[in-house]
Formats: sequence, C-alpha cells, structure tokens
Amino acid sequence: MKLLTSFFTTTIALTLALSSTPIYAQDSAQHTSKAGKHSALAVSHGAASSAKVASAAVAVPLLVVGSAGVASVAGGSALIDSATKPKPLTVTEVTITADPAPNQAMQTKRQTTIEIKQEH
Amino acid sequence: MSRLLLLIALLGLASSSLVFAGSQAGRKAQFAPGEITGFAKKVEKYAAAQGARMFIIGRIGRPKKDLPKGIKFTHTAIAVYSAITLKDGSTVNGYAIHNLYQEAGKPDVSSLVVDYPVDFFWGVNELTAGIIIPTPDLQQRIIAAISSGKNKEVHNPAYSVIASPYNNELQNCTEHTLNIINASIYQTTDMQQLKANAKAHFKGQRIRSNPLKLMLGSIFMDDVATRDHQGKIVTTTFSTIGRYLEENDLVQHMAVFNRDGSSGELL
Repeated sequence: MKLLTSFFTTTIALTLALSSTPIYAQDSAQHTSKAGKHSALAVSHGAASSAKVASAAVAVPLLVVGSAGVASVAGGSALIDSATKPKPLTVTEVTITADPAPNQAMQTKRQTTIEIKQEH
Repeated sequence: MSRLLLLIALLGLASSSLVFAGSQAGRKAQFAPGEITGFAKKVEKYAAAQGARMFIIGRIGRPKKDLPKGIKFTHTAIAVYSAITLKDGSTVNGYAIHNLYQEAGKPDVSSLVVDYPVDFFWGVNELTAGIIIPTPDLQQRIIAAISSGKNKEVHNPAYSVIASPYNNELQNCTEHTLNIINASIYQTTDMQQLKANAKAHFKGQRIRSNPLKLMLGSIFMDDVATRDHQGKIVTTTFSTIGRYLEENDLVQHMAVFNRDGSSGELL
C-alpha cells in the first residue's frame, strides 16, 4: 500500500508540475511553419486588398553609401556615415513571407508528383 | 494522504509561477492575417523611419501574466535592411530577420533561419514589438558580421531555454543575439574571449524559480537544462541586451512599438 501511495504521489505531482502550464515554454519556435499560414495570407490579400504577398528567394543586407546609392556590404567596404543623422529608409508595401519549413515543402512536392503521375 | 495533498498543492502552485516565455511549435495565429500583416508592416516602417539599417527585434509569444518577473519579450532576433529578391525575380527593399529557432520535433536543437516580419509575428500572443536600434557604427559592424557568416560561427545548436550567457555549453535565441553583438563589437568569434567579455560586462536576467520545478524541468523537458549554470539561474533577455547597449552608449533608439502605432519606453 505504501508503495502504491508513493507511486500515485509521484505521478500526480509530475503531471501537475509539468503539464498544467507550459513550463519554461520558449518562443524560439518558428512561426513560418505554422499550419495554414500561407493559404491564410493568400485569402486575406486576395479579395479587397491591393497589397501583394510574395515569397522571398534571397535577401542581401544593404548599406546606404552617401548619396551614391545602395551598395551591398558583402565586400566589407560599404560604410554608414555615422557623422550625420540617419535618413529614413523606404520599405516595400509587399508582404514578404518565407517558404514553409522543409518538411512541409517536401510534402507539397510529393503531392505534386503524385498528381502528375495520375494524369498520365 | 495529507502529505500527498500538500505536495500536490505545492507543485500546482509552482507550476503556475514559472513560465519562462513564448509559444510552442504548432501554435495557431491569435490574430486575423490582415491584422498581423498590417502590424508587421508598421514595425518595418517605424524602424525605417529611424533610418535603421538593422535593429534588434523582440516579440511577445505568451500572455504577460504567464511571464516571470523581468521577462517582457519571449523571442529576440536581428532584423537587417535588405534587398529581397522575390520568386518572380523582382527585388524590393525591406527587413529580413535573422533568427535562432528550435528545430521542429527537436526542442533541444536549434538552427539559424531567415524569415520576414509577418512570419516573425504570426503566432504572437500580443501585437507588440521590442525595437533596439544600435548606433550607426555598431549597426554597420553587425551587418558586416551577418553578411560574412560570423553569426554561424557563434551559433551553438545545443539549445536550452534558460541558457547561461557566460559560457558556450548551451544557447538560446537571446544569447545568440548577444554573441553576434559582441562578436561585432570585439571583432572576434573566439567564444572563450566572447564569454570572458560577457562575464565582465554583461548583466543577465536572474530567473527566480522553484528549485524542485527546475530540477523536474531539466529531467523531463528536452529544452530545459541547468547544467551550464553554477548557482543562480541567469539568462539573456531582450531587455538586458537593451540595458547593456544603453550603458555602453551603443543605442541610437529603442522602444516598445504597440498595435495602435504608438510607442513607449523599453526600459
């Protein structure tokens, strides 16, 4: 009986301690992979809005070099002029989104392949 | 039986007071897609209006009431003003966000992922952003560090939600951000040197927790570990990074940006 009580005590305690609230729940979870995001975005922009949703292929960091225009920092030679007040930058009106996580992308690819085979 | 009830009560109390941060994988959007895209674009425009070539960005992934004292933001990353080439071949300017994320199905392992503001805010609990814009000189160094892949050199994929900023045994998103900042400041990716500098100059956030709960968490949860701590649990947070940069005169502007477009003080 003592052993049984001990077992139940441990079980209930662990259950309460670990599952009643998301202990230490960190927010390093990738929202990109949330199910349905891409279709939800497409629907929300499809009807009335003129704003576009687009998937990004690649992003290259930019530094503005004086008035000469925009240059990539990849070469390491671009400089921000720290002596003057930073000027406002322009951002696109397009809503840009990353592709789904690789595991979801692979599923999509597989479904496509199956559909093609069925057509033949 | 009374001992059993007492134990249940104590552990139940403990469990409600020690939620560290944000959201878990698989969590659905809490807001309508249009609200999220609108807010994400407002955040971009706010940073762009300040002339930020890069900024440190924070989000709130869990209800405030569930967060321990001293924790305001639950995920931290670096947004870099970028030329973004779209799938149709066109190029537009906006912010790309460089993150450390836990891998799906492997919460104790992280990888580096670039996403965009709408992705970043998709599963948040509150449409509020933390924004820290470093001084132009530091901005330039951080952008150069990311462009040259130094962010990968200071990444340790062994993940713990309460990773210590003072050694490289385990790492979370905020510690990774701190590593990139310090690698940029000190122009080194030598982890021993970076951690010695963090010990000397960076003050992390003390996590006050029930020792029993910490012990149970480290035993039963893959992404909770205490082995990299000696004594008190101290970790990196968005706010402690802001304070660190402010104390060293390395902040151009920092704010909390709200859903209605208003902004307030971060610290």
